[in-house]
Amino acid sequence: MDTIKESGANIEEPASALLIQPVPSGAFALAGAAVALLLVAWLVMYFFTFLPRGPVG
Amino acid sequence: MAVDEISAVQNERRWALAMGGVAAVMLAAIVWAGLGLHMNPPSNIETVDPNTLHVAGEFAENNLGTHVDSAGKITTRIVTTQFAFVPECVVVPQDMQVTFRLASPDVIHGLIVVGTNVNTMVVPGFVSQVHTVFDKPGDLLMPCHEFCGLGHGQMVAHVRVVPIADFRPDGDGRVTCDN
Amino acid sequence: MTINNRLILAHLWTAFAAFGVAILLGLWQMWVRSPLAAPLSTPDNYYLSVTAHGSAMAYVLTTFFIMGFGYFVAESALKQALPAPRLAWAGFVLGIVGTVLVVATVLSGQASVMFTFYPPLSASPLFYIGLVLVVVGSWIWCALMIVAMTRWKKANPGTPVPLAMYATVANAILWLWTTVGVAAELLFVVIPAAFGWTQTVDVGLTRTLFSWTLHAIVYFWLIPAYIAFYTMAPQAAGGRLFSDLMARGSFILFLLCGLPVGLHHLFMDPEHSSGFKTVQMMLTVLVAVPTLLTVFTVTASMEIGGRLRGGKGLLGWIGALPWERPMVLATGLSFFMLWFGGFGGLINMSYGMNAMVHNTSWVSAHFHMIFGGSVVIMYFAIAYHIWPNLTGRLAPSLVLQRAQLWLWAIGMMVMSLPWHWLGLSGQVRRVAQFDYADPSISWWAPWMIMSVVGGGMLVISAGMFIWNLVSFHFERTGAAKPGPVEYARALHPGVPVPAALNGFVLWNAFVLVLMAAAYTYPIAQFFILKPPQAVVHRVDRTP
Repeated sequence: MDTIKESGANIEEPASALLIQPVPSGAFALAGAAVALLLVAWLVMYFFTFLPRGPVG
Repeated sequence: MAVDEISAVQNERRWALAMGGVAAVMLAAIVWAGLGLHMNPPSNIETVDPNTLHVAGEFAENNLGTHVDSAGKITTRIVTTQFAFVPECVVVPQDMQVTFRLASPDVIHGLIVVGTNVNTMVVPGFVSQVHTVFDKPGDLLMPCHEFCGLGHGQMVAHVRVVPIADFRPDGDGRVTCDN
Repeated sequence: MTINNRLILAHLWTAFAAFGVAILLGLWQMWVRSPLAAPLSTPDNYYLSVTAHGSAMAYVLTTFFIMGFGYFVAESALKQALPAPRLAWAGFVLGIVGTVLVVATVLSGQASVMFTFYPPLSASPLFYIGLVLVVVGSWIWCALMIVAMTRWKKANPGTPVPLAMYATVANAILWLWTTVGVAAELLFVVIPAAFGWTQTVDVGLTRTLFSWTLHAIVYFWLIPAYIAFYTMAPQAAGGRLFSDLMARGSFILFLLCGLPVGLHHLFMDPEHSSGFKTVQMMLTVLVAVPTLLTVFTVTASMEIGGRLRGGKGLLGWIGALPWERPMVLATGLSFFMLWFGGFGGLINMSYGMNAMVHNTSWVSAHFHMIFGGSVVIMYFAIAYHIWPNLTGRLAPSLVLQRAQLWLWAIGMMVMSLPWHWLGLSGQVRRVAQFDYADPSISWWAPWMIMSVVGGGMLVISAGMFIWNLVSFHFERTGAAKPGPVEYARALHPGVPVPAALNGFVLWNAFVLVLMAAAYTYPIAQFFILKPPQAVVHRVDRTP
């Protein structure tokens, strides 16, 4: 059964199991893609909305 | 420090450097817009007494609206008040530098000229000033965008952008929506 | 197990009760703004409602939730009794009295000035006094959090403070700094004017003092969500916290960079120079750093969980995560909404670019995505996570919990995403009704109806949330007892923590320097310049 209690359960595995992947490549890929998209979206706003709306100050 | 934690921190640092790069790209673009293209927030520390501004001076009623001075400088003066812009329609020429000067005799207001970067708060005690150039003719909506009381939603004005040929100041240098 | 469960539950139920009422008002507000005919739709009612919605969500839900959760962390993470629970109850009572004053003044139409006040508009003095009492109650909480940590450090020399508690104290200290601005605004300017002791106010000064509070307050709201990201989500996912040191660093960065950035709320104001606006814009860029670090660290922590559960390849660990657990699901949904909320925020903070969106629906979209979305969904997940402990009963139904979280995230996006393009096309905030007959805005109509639908989904989700919590209390206590809440262990336990990352003295000194640099002149200029003052405009009675 799926319970909150189970979510607290720890898998007691040897320390080496934790180091299958010394570099968190998945996190780099996922978070990197998200931030790259963020920058692209920001640049789209900058070039295609902000600049065309004209000088101001 | 354990070797493993050092490797974790190294990974974090790699990530942080990449994030610094992202931030640097955005900052560079913002600074370029500000310094190179003169696209900045309206910052103009200039005071005016909200209680007397309607009596005399540039915000007296007969000075409001668009005015072209002898040097050809175009200034549009508007008073934002509960719950109207005075005047409610202003005319500006296309493709020329225009300066908006705004003041409030009562509470905080704000405005945005829809579809442009013209956006400022109007804070009683200060003159808000925005320089801009409108590149397309048309009637643009200019709503009050800051809560100023129960009538806030009714507070809407228009900016009429006209081709230079149709922008004809009268003998005093004034241009209004009526003529 | 926690001892002061009644204290914690009293806080959390107060928070969620306010939330339950405020969300109904929110739906009604969307209805009024839409082309559909809403009942009772007058400007008076609308602004009363917006003030109540904002005050309840931004002050009552947050403050009581954060206090209750802080008491929970202090007992469960430190495994020691809370110091002076009677004082904690005193803080709670102060907060309740304050909330009652706020509710009474707002509902009687004496305080329709929004939760951001906007002097020279002036409400009944009792409205502001009510808010001051809520804040004073929270200061007691701050003191108790600091005392709890200090005691624990004395009793456990050489052991680092558990991360959840370290972060909670970071938030308490942040909140003490944060409230200085609004306290000064209320005590020295707004309340004297509300009582009629002064007839005019320096509007620029009040805006500047409020800006001191206005940004850091959102980090106060957000830090509990981050505590869950770092200490609860990896545990629920069967993973490990990727780096305990970096987590501490992130919370310190929030404390340092969350404060000296409030002028970015005043980019479009005339009363500040481009110089100080630029300085605080730069500092605002820095405050994105702890969030971006968190995104990475938490993702890496989850990745460990996914890989331990057999996930393979670059992204296979994602599917291997136990998404059936509400804490894991909520974290995923929260991160998803964080992308949109973060994107909106990046545009807001980008100096000149703020002109495109300032005071439009874009801004409402931003803070609904990031606060209503990313943060509040974690409040739900935290409640689900700790309620077994607080009630001694297992969750009646995880299916309903998951459904509630999904509905919340989808509803928030259905409601708030359209506000981005509506805002860009000139839809301003805080307007009750639009003239949809105007051909230039008639295309808004379907999007506004979509927002009403999204709002309806949120109301249903909120109802399910309350039901899910209430049903705990009625669940029979069976043979199976919930275990204590365990916080995520670090991937590399036993790493020595430098003293600087185990206390706050050094960081307080840094905050002082930063705040002095960022705010001394912007505040002092009003005493040098002495701008003409504005006459007080009362909203609580006709003059």
